[in-house]
Amino acid sequence: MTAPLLDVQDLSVEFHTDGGVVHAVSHADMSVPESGILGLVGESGSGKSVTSLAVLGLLGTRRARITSGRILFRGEDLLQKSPAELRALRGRHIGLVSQNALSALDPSFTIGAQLVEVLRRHQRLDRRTARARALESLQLVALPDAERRLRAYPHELSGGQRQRVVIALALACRPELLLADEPTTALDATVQKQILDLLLSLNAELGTAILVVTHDFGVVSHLCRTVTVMRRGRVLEAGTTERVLTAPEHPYTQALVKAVPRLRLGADERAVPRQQRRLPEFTEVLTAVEG
Amino acid sequence: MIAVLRRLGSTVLVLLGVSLIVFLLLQLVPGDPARAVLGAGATQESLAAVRAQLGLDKPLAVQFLDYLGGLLRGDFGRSLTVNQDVSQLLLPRLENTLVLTGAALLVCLVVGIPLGILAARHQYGLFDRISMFVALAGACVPVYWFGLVLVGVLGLSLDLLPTSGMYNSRNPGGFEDLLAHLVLPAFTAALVPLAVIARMSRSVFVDVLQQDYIRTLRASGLSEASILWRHGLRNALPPIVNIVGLQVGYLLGGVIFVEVVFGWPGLGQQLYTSITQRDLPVVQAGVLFVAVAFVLVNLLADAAVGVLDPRSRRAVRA
Repeated sequence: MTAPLLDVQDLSVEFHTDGGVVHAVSHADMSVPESGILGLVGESGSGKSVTSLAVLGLLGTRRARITSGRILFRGEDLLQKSPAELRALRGRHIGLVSQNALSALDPSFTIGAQLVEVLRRHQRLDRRTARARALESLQLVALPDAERRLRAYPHELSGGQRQRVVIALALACRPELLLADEPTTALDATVQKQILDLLLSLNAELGTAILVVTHDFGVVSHLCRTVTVMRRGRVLEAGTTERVLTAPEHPYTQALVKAVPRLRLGADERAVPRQQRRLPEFTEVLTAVEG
Repeated sequence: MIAVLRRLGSTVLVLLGVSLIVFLLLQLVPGDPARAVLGAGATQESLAAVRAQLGLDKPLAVQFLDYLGGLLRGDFGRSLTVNQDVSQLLLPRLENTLVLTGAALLVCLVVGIPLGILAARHQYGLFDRISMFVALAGACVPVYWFGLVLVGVLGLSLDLLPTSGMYNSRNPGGFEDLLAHLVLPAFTAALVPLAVIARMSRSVFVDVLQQDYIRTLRASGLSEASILWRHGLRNALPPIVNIVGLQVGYLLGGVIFVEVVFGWPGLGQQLYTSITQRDLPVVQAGVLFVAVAFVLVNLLADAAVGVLDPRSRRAVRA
């Protein structure tokens, strides 16, 4: 068996706040194989986004500290790299599709200018070639009227189109790994489906491995081959998506799976009069399973 | 287009209002201009004759319309103390004031904005704390006091720079001489607006650096320099330009004190002299110049924001 593309081992991240130390991630392990798609699932504050930022070396604030572990990317520990080495890696080998498509693009520059800058930063291209490559990237994410969109500003695009541009930007230099942090949260349902399909097709066409951070099991079941469940900074369960969704082992995962609203109700649920039907509160389910 | 016209229309209204207020304010000032012309021993007849000559015996509304008509023809009246047209008296001084204000503004921009940006970049670091404390202290210092301290230390004790007067760049001393005379008054006038611009730039920048797109840029592997000076500055500029526009107004007001302290032969010094001599037409014109300059600078700032921010560009086009 070949080594995974991304291998996070025993990662712990702390935040030193005025109110004391917060253990955002505690001894977490996860791995993304070459061309694989891993879903990292958990509620807000479970440490999933912090994990993905740690991979990029973008924890940023001086309050964040990585206290244990290794983040191996193609066998090299990212935690040992200098800021300059990490900058060369970001965008070139690891791309980020961030949470909020509406605010993830610089409003003062055209789409083309942003793509061209990233391409020229990593690939020493002249302006004309970079522009041609930028256009290719927009066509790759199936943005309609791509040629004209190069000259457009982010506010001139719809939410779904902007998310396509964010993906194009992350993929411009054809990185081996894409980190998608809640890639569909800010979008409406039909557009969500399109973006998920786009990620799937890019994975199939380019072989780009994807780490999807999400709280949505719908996204996981649509996209991911394997899934890791996190809560309060700890990994509770990991396995193939099918196994975790159909036969979750950890009570918390069972609660999460049960809390997903379904379109088709079971016979016992249909028996309840419509006015009295309600979705179980997550905490109720959790108390029920955890006893 | 409509938005631009609307903005220009409102500017005209503001200017009209400003000229009305300037006109009325000086009606409220105690003292009789005719007596200022003739002196305390004047007879009633000669006072009445001068009032008639100056048009002061007409109703207020008529006086205002006469005044406004004069303004539109470029006629600001005649000085009561110097036998000269107000425009002739003030124009060379306006030029001197613009030189001083321009130099002070340059100091504000070149020092204030980078200071704010670097403080934001190192938020809560030592540089941030020290520079922002100094800026806060600077914003609290009275301009004339700071001017006197500079005169005392750099001018008199160390004898580094001339402490008063100004030589026109066309005079024998040339540009270097002008610069030497400009340094102290320009820094004095710049102090408070510089402090405000530095502090506001910092807070605008702190906000910009927390935006999602900055994280996208970092995740794309762009250099810190590009993120800060290209993307950060470009996004922070519209609010900073607005702040600078407002600070120019403060600068124009502060320059009056600075000109008096440093003997700079500008509009402010003339205003000061004319106020003490109750030379109303000169005061009116001087105040109007300052007010018009303030309104025009802010119009310019709005136009610059429109050009800088693509979102408002579309709003203007629509």
